Amino acid sequence: MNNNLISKDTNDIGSFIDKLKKEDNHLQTIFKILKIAYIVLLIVYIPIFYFEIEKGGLVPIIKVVFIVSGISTFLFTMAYAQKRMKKILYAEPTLMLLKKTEKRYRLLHPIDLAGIPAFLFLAIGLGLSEKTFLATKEFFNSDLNWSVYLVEAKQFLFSGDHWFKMLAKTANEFPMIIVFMVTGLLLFMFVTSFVIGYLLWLARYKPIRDNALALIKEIES
Amino acid sequence: MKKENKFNDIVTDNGERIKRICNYYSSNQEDRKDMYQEILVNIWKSLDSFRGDASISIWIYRIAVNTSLGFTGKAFKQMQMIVDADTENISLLLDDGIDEKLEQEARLNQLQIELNQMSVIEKSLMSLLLEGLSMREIADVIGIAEPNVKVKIHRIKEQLKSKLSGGKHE
Repeated sequence: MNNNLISKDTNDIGSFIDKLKKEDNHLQTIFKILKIAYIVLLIVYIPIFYFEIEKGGLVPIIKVVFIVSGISTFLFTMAYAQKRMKKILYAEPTLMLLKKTEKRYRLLHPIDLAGIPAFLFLAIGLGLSEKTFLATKEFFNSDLNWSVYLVEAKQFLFSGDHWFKMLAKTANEFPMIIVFMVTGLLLFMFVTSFVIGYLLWLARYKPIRDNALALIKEIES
Repeated sequence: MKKENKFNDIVTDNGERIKRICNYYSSNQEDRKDMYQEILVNIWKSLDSFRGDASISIWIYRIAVNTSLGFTGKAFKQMQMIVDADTENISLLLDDGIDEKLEQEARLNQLQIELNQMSVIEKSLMSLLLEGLSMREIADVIGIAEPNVKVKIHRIKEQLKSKLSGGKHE
Protein backbone atom coordinates (compact mmCIF):
# COMPACT_ATOMS: atom_id res chain seq x y z
CA MET A 1 0.00 0.00 0.00
CA ASN A 2 1.31 3.45 -0.89
CA ASN A 3 1.80 5.39 2.32
CA ASN A 4 1.95 8.75 0.60
CA LEU A 5 -1.38 8.03 -0.99
CA ILE A 6 -2.86 6.98 2.33
CA SER A 7 -1.68 10.13 4.07
CA LYS A 8 -3.12 12.31 1.31
CA ASP A 9 -6.32 10.28 1.33
CA THR A 10 -6.68 10.52 5.10
CA ASN A 11 -6.00 14.23 5.06
CA ASP A 12 -8.66 14.87 2.42
CA ILE A 13 -11.23 12.53 3.90
CA GLY A 14 -10.66 13.61 7.49
CA SER A 15 -12.54 16.87 7.21
CA PHE A 16 -15.30 15.21 5.24
CA ILE A 17 -17.97 14.77 7.90
CA ASP A 18 -17.27 18.21 9.32
CA LYS A 19 -17.87 19.76 5.91
CA LEU A 20 -20.95 17.62 5.55
CA LYS A 21 -22.48 18.88 8.76
CA LYS A 22 -21.70 22.49 7.88
CA GLU A 23 -23.25 22.06 4.44
CA ASP A 24 -26.34 20.41 5.91
CA ASN A 25 -26.87 23.33 8.29
CA HIS A 26 -26.21 25.82 5.52
CA LEU A 27 -28.65 24.14 3.11
CA GLN A 28 -31.31 23.76 5.79
CA THR A 29 -31.13 27.49 6.51
CA ILE A 30 -31.44 28.30 2.79
CA PHE A 31 -34.45 25.99 2.41
CA LYS A 32 -36.08 27.48 5.49
CA ILE A 33 -35.64 31.05 4.18
CA LEU A 34 -36.95 30.09 0.73
CA LYS A 35 -39.93 28.31 2.22
CA ILE A 36 -40.86 31.33 4.35
CA ALA A 37 -40.37 33.62 1.33
CA TYR A 38 -42.77 31.55 -0.78
CA ILE A 39 -45.38 31.42 1.97
CA VAL A 40 -45.16 35.22 2.34
CA LEU A 41 -45.38 35.56 -1.44
CA LEU A 42 -48.52 33.43 -1.51
CA ILE A 43 -50.10 35.51 1.25
CA VAL A 44 -49.22 38.75 -0.56
CA TYR A 45 -50.61 37.41 -3.84
CA ILE A 46 -54.01 36.40 -2.42
CA PRO A 47 -55.55 39.93 -2.76
CA ILE A 48 -53.89 40.32 -6.18
CA PHE A 49 -55.44 37.01 -7.28
CA TYR A 50 -58.78 38.21 -6.00
CA PHE A 51 -58.64 41.38 -8.14
CA GLU A 52 -57.42 39.44 -11.18
CA ILE A 53 -60.33 36.99 -10.97
CA GLU A 54 -62.77 39.87 -10.33
CA LYS A 55 -61.85 41.22 -13.79
CA GLY A 56 -63.69 38.23 -15.26
CA GLY A 57 -62.79 36.15 -18.30
CA LEU A 58 -60.65 33.08 -18.79
CA VAL A 59 -57.20 34.70 -19.01
CA PRO A 60 -57.02 36.03 -15.39
CA ILE A 61 -58.10 32.61 -14.09
CA ILE A 62 -55.42 30.80 -16.16
CA LYS A 63 -52.88 33.39 -14.97
CA VAL A 64 -53.77 32.78 -11.30
CA VAL A 65 -53.71 28.99 -11.78
CA PHE A 66 -50.21 29.14 -13.30
CA ILE A 67 -48.82 31.46 -10.61
CA VAL A 68 -50.30 29.39 -7.77
CA SER A 69 -49.04 26.17 -9.40
CA GLY A 70 -45.56 27.66 -9.81
CA ILE A 71 -45.30 28.95 -6.24
CA SER A 72 -46.80 25.73 -4.82
CA THR A 73 -44.43 23.51 -6.80
CA PHE A 74 -41.47 25.53 -5.47
CA LEU A 75 -42.91 25.38 -1.94
CA PHE A 76 -43.40 21.60 -1.99
CA THR A 77 -39.97 21.09 -3.56
CA MET A 78 -38.35 23.08 -0.78
CA ALA A 79 -40.40 21.38 1.94
CA TYR A 80 -39.45 17.96 0.56
CA ALA A 81 -35.77 18.89 0.32
CA GLN A 82 -35.77 20.15 3.91
CA LYS A 83 -37.47 16.99 5.13
CA ARG A 84 -34.85 14.94 3.31
CA MET A 85 -32.07 16.93 4.97
CA LYS A 86 -33.57 16.35 8.41
CA LYS A 87 -33.40 12.62 7.76
CA ILE A 88 -29.59 12.63 7.70
CA LEU A 89 -28.46 10.44 10.53
CA TYR A 90 -24.91 10.34 11.76
CA ALA A 91 -25.82 7.18 13.67
CA GLU A 92 -26.18 5.24 10.44
CA PRO A 93 -23.59 2.67 9.37
CA THR A 94 -20.67 4.54 7.83
CA LEU A 95 -21.13 3.05 4.37
CA MET A 96 -24.84 3.92 4.29
CA LEU A 97 -24.08 7.49 5.39
CA LEU A 98 -21.52 7.78 2.60
CA LYS A 99 -23.85 6.40 -0.06
CA LYS A 100 -26.61 8.81 0.95
CA THR A 101 -24.09 11.64 0.84
CA GLU A 102 -22.97 10.64 -2.63
CA LYS A 103 -26.59 10.68 -3.83
CA ARG A 104 -27.39 13.94 -2.06
CA TYR A 105 -24.54 15.83 -3.71
CA ARG A 106 -25.08 14.63 -7.27
CA LEU A 107 -25.30 17.43 -9.85
CA LEU A 108 -28.91 16.78 -10.80
CA HIS A 109 -31.55 15.41 -8.48
CA PRO A 110 -35.12 14.49 -9.46
CA ILE A 111 -36.14 17.13 -6.92
CA ASP A 112 -34.11 19.77 -8.81
CA LEU A 113 -35.93 18.85 -12.01
CA ALA A 114 -39.20 19.79 -10.29
CA GLY A 115 -37.84 23.34 -10.43
CA ILE A 116 -38.22 23.36 -14.22
CA PRO A 117 -42.07 23.09 -14.34
CA ALA A 118 -42.26 25.45 -11.35
CA PHE A 119 -40.18 28.02 -13.26
CA LEU A 120 -42.27 27.55 -16.42
CA PHE A 121 -45.58 27.87 -14.52
CA LEU A 122 -44.39 31.10 -12.91
CA ALA A 123 -43.03 32.48 -16.19
CA ILE A 124 -46.29 31.75 -18.03
CA GLY A 125 -48.43 33.00 -15.13
CA LEU A 126 -46.53 36.27 -14.71
CA GLY A 127 -46.22 36.90 -18.45
CA LEU A 128 -49.79 36.09 -19.35
CA SER A 129 -52.20 38.96 -20.02
CA GLU A 130 -55.18 39.56 -22.25
CA LYS A 131 -52.83 41.23 -24.77
CA THR A 132 -50.18 38.46 -24.83
CA PHE A 133 -52.94 35.83 -24.94
CA LEU A 134 -54.52 37.45 -28.00
CA ALA A 135 -51.13 37.99 -29.63
CA THR A 136 -50.23 34.32 -29.20
CA LYS A 137 -53.61 33.23 -30.51
CA GLU A 138 -53.24 35.53 -33.50
CA PHE A 139 -49.70 34.31 -34.14
CA PHE A 140 -50.80 30.70 -34.45
CA ASN A 141 -53.78 31.59 -36.64
CA SER A 142 -51.92 34.06 -38.88
CA ASP A 143 -50.32 33.32 -42.24
CA LEU A 144 -47.30 35.49 -41.45
CA ASN A 145 -44.13 33.50 -41.59
CA TRP A 146 -41.05 33.72 -39.38
CA SER A 147 -39.15 35.94 -41.81
CA VAL A 148 -41.51 38.84 -41.04
CA TYR A 149 -40.56 38.61 -37.38
CA LEU A 150 -36.88 38.39 -38.23
CA VAL A 151 -37.11 41.56 -40.36
CA GLU A 152 -38.94 43.32 -37.54
CA ALA A 153 -36.35 42.15 -35.00
CA LYS A 154 -33.53 43.39 -37.27
CA GLN A 155 -35.21 46.78 -37.57
CA PHE A 156 -35.69 46.92 -33.84
CA LEU A 157 -32.04 46.21 -33.18
CA PHE A 158 -30.32 48.14 -35.95
CA SER A 159 -32.65 50.98 -37.02
CA GLY A 160 -30.78 53.53 -34.96
CA ASP A 161 -33.96 54.90 -33.39
CA HIS A 162 -34.25 55.17 -29.64
CA TRP A 163 -34.85 51.64 -28.28
CA PHE A 164 -37.86 52.63 -26.19
CA LYS A 165 -39.54 54.28 -29.19
CA MET A 166 -38.80 51.21 -31.32
CA LEU A 167 -40.09 48.89 -28.61
CA ALA A 168 -43.40 50.76 -28.42
CA LYS A 169 -43.71 50.71 -32.23
CA THR A 170 -42.81 47.02 -32.52
CA ALA A 171 -45.04 46.01 -29.64
CA ASN A 172 -47.89 47.84 -31.25
CA GLU A 173 -47.44 46.29 -34.70
CA PHE A 174 -46.25 42.84 -33.70
CA PRO A 175 -47.17 42.12 -30.07
CA MET A 176 -45.81 38.58 -30.46
CA ILE A 177 -42.29 40.04 -30.62
CA ILE A 178 -42.67 40.97 -26.94
CA VAL A 179 -43.68 37.38 -26.12
CA PHE A 180 -40.57 36.13 -27.94
CA MET A 181 -38.35 38.65 -26.16
CA VAL A 182 -39.71 37.78 -22.73
CA THR A 183 -39.37 34.05 -23.50
CA GLY A 184 -35.79 34.63 -24.65
CA LEU A 185 -35.02 36.60 -21.51
CA LEU A 186 -36.48 33.85 -19.33
CA LEU A 187 -34.49 31.21 -21.20
CA PHE A 188 -31.36 33.29 -20.73
CA MET A 189 -32.11 33.58 -16.99
CA PHE A 190 -32.73 29.84 -16.82
CA VAL A 191 -29.46 28.96 -18.57
CA THR A 192 -27.54 31.51 -16.47
CA SER A 193 -29.02 30.06 -13.25
CA PHE A 194 -28.04 26.57 -14.39
CA VAL A 195 -24.46 27.66 -15.16
CA ILE A 196 -24.15 29.45 -11.78
CA GLY A 197 -25.60 26.37 -10.04
CA TYR A 198 -23.14 24.13 -11.89
CA LEU A 199 -20.16 26.30 -10.89
CA LEU A 200 -21.37 26.34 -7.28
CA TRP A 201 -21.71 22.55 -7.33
CA LEU A 202 -18.24 22.24 -8.84
CA ALA A 203 -16.66 24.36 -6.11
CA ARG A 204 -18.62 23.29 -3.04
CA TYR A 205 -20.43 20.01 -3.48
CA LYS A 206 -18.35 18.03 -5.96
CA PRO A 207 -15.37 17.76 -3.53
CA ILE A 208 -17.70 16.36 -0.85
CA ARG A 209 -19.15 13.86 -3.31
CA ASP A 210 -15.68 12.90 -4.55
CA ASN A 211 -14.56 12.28 -0.97
CA ALA A 212 -17.62 10.15 -0.35
CA LEU A 213 -16.95 8.15 -3.51
CA ALA A 214 -13.30 7.62 -2.51
CA LEU A 215 -14.34 6.38 0.94
CA ILE A 216 -17.03 4.10 -0.52
CA LYS A 217 -14.43 2.66 -2.90
CA GLU A 218 -12.05 2.05 -0.01
CA ILE A 219 -14.68 0.38 2.16
CA GLU A 220 -16.02 -1.78 -0.65
CA SER A 221 -12.62 -2.78 -2.04
CA MET B 1 -39.08 8.19 28.85
CA LYS B 2 -38.03 11.82 28.40
CA LYS B 3 -35.23 12.53 25.93
CA GLU B 4 -33.07 14.04 28.68
CA ASN B 5 -33.43 10.95 30.85
CA LYS B 6 -32.74 8.63 27.96
CA PHE B 7 -29.65 10.67 27.10
CA ASN B 8 -28.41 10.65 30.68
CA ASP B 9 -28.90 6.89 30.93
CA ILE B 10 -26.94 6.33 27.72
CA VAL B 11 -24.10 8.58 28.85
CA THR B 12 -23.98 6.95 32.29
CA ASP B 13 -23.93 3.44 30.84
CA ASN B 14 -21.57 4.15 27.96
CA GLY B 15 -19.43 7.06 29.11
CA GLU B 16 -16.36 4.89 29.67
CA ARG B 17 -16.75 3.25 26.27
CA ILE B 18 -16.91 6.67 24.56
CA LYS B 19 -13.88 7.90 26.50
CA ARG B 20 -11.94 4.80 25.46
CA ILE B 21 -12.69 5.49 21.78
CA CYS B 22 -11.55 9.09 22.21
CA ASN B 23 -8.33 7.82 23.75
CA TYR B 24 -7.46 5.95 20.56
CA TYR B 25 -7.49 9.17 18.59
CA SER B 26 -5.39 11.52 20.67
CA SER B 27 -2.88 11.67 23.48
CA ASN B 28 -3.91 15.26 24.12
CA GLN B 29 -6.35 15.68 26.99
CA GLU B 30 -8.06 18.72 25.46
CA ASP B 31 -8.55 17.00 22.08
CA ARG B 32 -10.04 13.97 23.82
CA LYS B 33 -12.41 16.21 25.75
CA ASP B 34 -13.50 17.99 22.55
CA MET B 35 -14.09 14.71 20.78
CA TYR B 36 -16.02 13.33 23.74
CA GLN B 37 -18.27 16.38 23.71
CA GLU B 38 -18.79 16.14 19.96
CA ILE B 39 -19.82 12.50 20.25
CA LEU B 40 -22.31 13.47 22.97
CA VAL B 41 -23.74 16.23 20.76
CA ASN B 42 -24.19 13.74 17.92
CA ILE B 43 -25.78 11.21 20.28
CA TRP B 44 -28.23 13.89 21.37
CA LYS B 45 -29.03 14.82 17.74
CA SER B 46 -29.52 11.18 16.76
CA LEU B 47 -31.47 10.12 19.81
CA ASP B 48 -34.93 10.74 18.31
CA SER B 49 -34.15 8.38 15.47
CA PHE B 50 -32.96 5.51 17.68
CA ARG B 51 -35.53 2.78 17.21
CA GLY B 52 -33.60 -0.07 18.74
CA ASP B 53 -32.86 -1.79 15.41
CA ALA B 54 -29.25 -2.07 16.51
CA SER B 55 -27.97 -2.64 20.03
CA ILE B 56 -27.22 0.56 21.90
CA SER B 57 -23.48 -0.18 21.96
CA ILE B 58 -23.35 -0.68 18.18
CA TRP B 59 -25.37 2.52 17.76
CA ILE B 60 -22.89 4.43 19.91
CA TYR B 61 -19.90 2.97 18.07
CA ARG B 62 -21.44 4.12 14.78
CA ILE B 63 -21.79 7.67 16.07
CA ALA B 64 -18.30 7.56 17.54
CA VAL B 65 -16.70 6.29 14.33
CA ASN B 66 -18.56 8.83 12.17
CA THR B 67 -17.67 11.60 14.62
CA SER B 68 -14.05 10.54 14.72
CA LEU B 69 -13.84 10.88 10.93
CA GLY B 70 -14.82 14.53 11.26
CA PHE B 71 -12.70 15.07 14.31
CA THR B 72 -9.53 13.79 12.66
CA GLY B 73 -10.16 16.25 9.87
CA LYS B 74 -10.45 19.16 12.27
CA ALA B 75 -6.92 18.80 13.60
CA PHE B 76 -5.44 16.02 11.54
CA LYS B 77 -1.81 16.68 12.41
CA GLN B 78 -2.50 16.43 16.12
CA MET B 79 -4.76 13.42 15.87
CA GLN B 80 -2.89 10.16 16.05
CA MET B 81 -4.07 6.71 16.83
CA ILE B 82 -2.82 5.97 20.31
CA VAL B 83 -2.08 2.53 21.69
CA ASP B 84 0.17 1.56 24.56
CA ALA B 85 1.21 -1.57 26.36
CA ASP B 86 -1.82 -1.18 28.65
CA THR B 87 -4.32 -0.97 25.79
CA GLU B 88 -6.83 -3.70 26.33
CA ASN B 89 -7.02 -6.28 23.51
CA ILE B 90 -3.78 -5.04 21.93
CA SER B 91 -2.92 -8.68 21.27
CA LEU B 92 -5.82 -8.70 18.76
CA LEU B 93 -3.83 -6.49 16.43
CA LEU B 94 -1.01 -8.98 16.11
CA ASP B 95 -1.70 -12.59 16.83
CA ASP B 96 1.59 -14.38 16.28
CA GLY B 97 3.47 -13.55 19.43
CA ILE B 98 4.93 -10.28 18.24
CA ASP B 99 2.83 -8.57 20.93
CA GLU B 100 5.26 -9.89 23.53
CA LYS B 101 7.96 -7.85 21.91
CA LEU B 102 5.78 -4.79 22.13
CA GLU B 103 6.81 -4.45 25.71
CA GLN B 104 9.94 -3.03 24.30
CA GLU B 105 9.32 0.64 23.81
CA ALA B 106 10.91 0.76 20.36
CA ARG B 107 8.51 -1.89 19.07
CA LEU B 108 5.55 -0.05 20.50
CA ASN B 109 6.65 3.17 18.87
CA GLN B 110 7.00 1.34 15.58
CA LEU B 111 3.46 -0.01 15.91
CA GLN B 112 2.25 3.49 16.68
CA ILE B 113 3.91 4.86 13.53
CA GLU B 114 2.48 2.08 11.37
CA LEU B 115 -1.02 2.57 12.77
CA ASN B 116 -0.85 6.25 11.93
CA GLN B 117 0.08 5.50 8.33
CA MET B 118 -3.29 3.81 7.91
CA SER B 119 -6.31 5.46 6.31
CA VAL B 120 -9.19 6.74 8.45
CA ILE B 121 -11.29 3.67 7.64
CA GLU B 122 -8.46 1.31 8.60
CA LYS B 123 -7.95 3.24 11.84
CA SER B 124 -11.65 2.93 12.57
CA LEU B 125 -11.54 -0.82 11.98
CA MET B 126 -8.55 -1.13 14.30
CA SER B 127 -10.16 0.93 17.04
CA LEU B 128 -13.29 -1.25 16.89
CA LEU B 129 -11.13 -4.36 17.02
CA LEU B 130 -9.31 -2.99 20.05
CA GLU B 131 -12.70 -2.40 21.64
CA GLY B 132 -13.18 -6.14 21.48
CA LEU B 133 -16.05 -6.03 19.00
CA SER B 134 -16.75 -9.22 17.05
CA MET B 135 -16.42 -9.26 13.26
CA ARG B 136 -20.23 -9.26 13.05
CA GLU B 137 -20.46 -6.17 15.24
CA ILE B 138 -17.75 -4.32 13.30
CA ALA B 139 -19.64 -5.17 10.11
CA ASP B 140 -22.79 -3.63 11.67
CA VAL B 141 -20.96 -0.42 12.56
CA ILE B 142 -19.29 0.11 9.18
CA GLY B 143 -22.17 -1.32 7.15
CA ILE B 144 -20.38 -4.04 5.20
CA ALA B 145 -20.59 -7.83 5.16
CA GLU B 146 -18.84 -9.82 7.88
CA PRO B 147 -16.52 -11.70 5.45
CA ASN B 148 -15.47 -8.34 4.01
CA VAL B 149 -14.52 -7.12 7.50
CA LYS B 150 -12.54 -10.31 8.11
CA VAL B 151 -10.61 -9.86 4.88
CA LYS B 152 -9.86 -6.19 5.61
CA ILE B 153 -8.69 -6.86 9.15
CA HIS B 154 -6.60 -9.81 8.04
CA ARG B 155 -4.99 -7.62 5.37
CA ILE B 156 -4.21 -4.86 7.90
CA LYS B 157 -2.74 -7.35 10.38
CA GLU B 158 -0.56 -8.85 7.66
CA GLN B 159 0.73 -5.41 6.76
CA LEU B 160 1.46 -4.60 10.40
CA LYS B 161 3.27 -7.90 10.88
CA SER B 162 5.26 -7.38 7.72
CA LYS B 163 6.30 -3.88 8.70
CA LEU B 164 7.06 -4.72 12.33
CA SER B 165 9.23 -7.64 11.32
CA GLY B 166 11.19 -5.40 8.96
CA GLY B 167 9.41 -6.51 5.80
CA LYS B 168 10.43 -10.16 6.13
CA HIS B 169 6.96 -11.40 6.86
CA GLU B 170 4.59 -11.62 3.88
